[in-house]
Amino acid sequence: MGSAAGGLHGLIDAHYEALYRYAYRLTGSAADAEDLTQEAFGRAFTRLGQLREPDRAKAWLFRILRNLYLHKVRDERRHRAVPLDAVGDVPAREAEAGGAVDVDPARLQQALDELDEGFRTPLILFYFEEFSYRDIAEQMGLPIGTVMSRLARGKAYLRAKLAPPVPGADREKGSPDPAGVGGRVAR
Amino acid sequence: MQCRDAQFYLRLRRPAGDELGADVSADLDRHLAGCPGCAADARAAGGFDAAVAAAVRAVPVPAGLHDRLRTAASAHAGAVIRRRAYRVTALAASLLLAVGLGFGVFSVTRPQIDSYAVVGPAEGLVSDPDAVLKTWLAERKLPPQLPAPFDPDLLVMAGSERVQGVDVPVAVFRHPDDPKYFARLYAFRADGTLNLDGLRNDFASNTAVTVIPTDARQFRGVRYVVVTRVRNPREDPLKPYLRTAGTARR
Repeated sequence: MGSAAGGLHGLIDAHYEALYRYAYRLTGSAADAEDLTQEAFGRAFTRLGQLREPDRAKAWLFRILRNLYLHKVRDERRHRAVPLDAVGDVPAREAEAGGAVDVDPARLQQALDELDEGFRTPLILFYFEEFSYRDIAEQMGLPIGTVMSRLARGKAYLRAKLAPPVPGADREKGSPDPAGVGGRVAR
Repeated sequence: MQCRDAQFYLRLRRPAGDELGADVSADLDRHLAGCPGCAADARAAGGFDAAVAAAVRAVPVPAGLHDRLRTAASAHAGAVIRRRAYRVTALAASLLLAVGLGFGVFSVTRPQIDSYAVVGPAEGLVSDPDAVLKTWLAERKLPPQLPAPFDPDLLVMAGSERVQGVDVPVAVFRHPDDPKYFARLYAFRADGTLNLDGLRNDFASNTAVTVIPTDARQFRGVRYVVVTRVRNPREDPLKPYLRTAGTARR
């Protein structure tokens, strides 16, 4: 048991920052993120014997945290999000930015909060740049094609919300319109 | 590669760690080099992705979180250890209680020694040895008479003995003049459990085996053999133990 506690301390040292950032982006709240991170490590301690591949510890911890988050959200039933169907289609062309893009983290979090968890999680994992499409698919228990589709739609939604409007954007077809999804929709 | 394909692959291209594969990436790069529109889209998408990636990661980690997590982990580990210790202790206590109860039940239900059950046979040997012999014969389902007139007053023990894995009734008589000498009367049943064909009179340096001839109808297939410790080689080995010898005394 002593070595298990030592193993958990090693996991904390190596992954607590990434796990906290993930939790923050999922919950949008520093307090909830800290609680979730702590719960995730607590759950990891009781299941340390299930970690067969230490190299996959980070993905394992992320999966534990996401499951805890989903349970919490389901229990509270208060999370308001844009449902999957309301997220717009992928535009025919990538939208041009009208210069250097500067994304405000607070606006980003607001946009992420508006998204259904099914879109939000792959986007966060995608932009962490530490998880492959296959990793994300495993995390979410989805086919890799579904993950790619959700990522494309989620990115288009973020671009519509965050990127500055550019002249000539009207050449895009089917570009997601934040207003078109009806703002925040209770799930 | 056409613009339409290029747009498709641009959407899948990662900000870092391209997962499209070397062939697709090379085709895409070639197309972007010759298509200003798609190249502009690629720059826009790349810039947007890089900006979002930086913003996604730009989460300030609270000071002291690391220490709080380690402290909580230690406390959690301690709680888990305590819970497991309680469980083990409770299990051990339950087992101990179960064993104790089991032993208690066993102690209460097992037969209690009755000292008279021990003393009774010895008392019977002293007070009424004839009755002891008759009881012994009846309990062993032996003919009601002994094959020779053994003196009941010389009876020391009437019971059974394991002979070659078979329980054989046996009665032991002491010598009337010297308790070191004895006669052991065995009653072998000719029921097939033992082959009795080899029974015959025999002598050793200190003991003699005597097969008592019997009436087959009266004794219903029981063969009697007496083993005696010989006191006087010239004397009939059974004679001291028979009532007709007139030597029996208590």
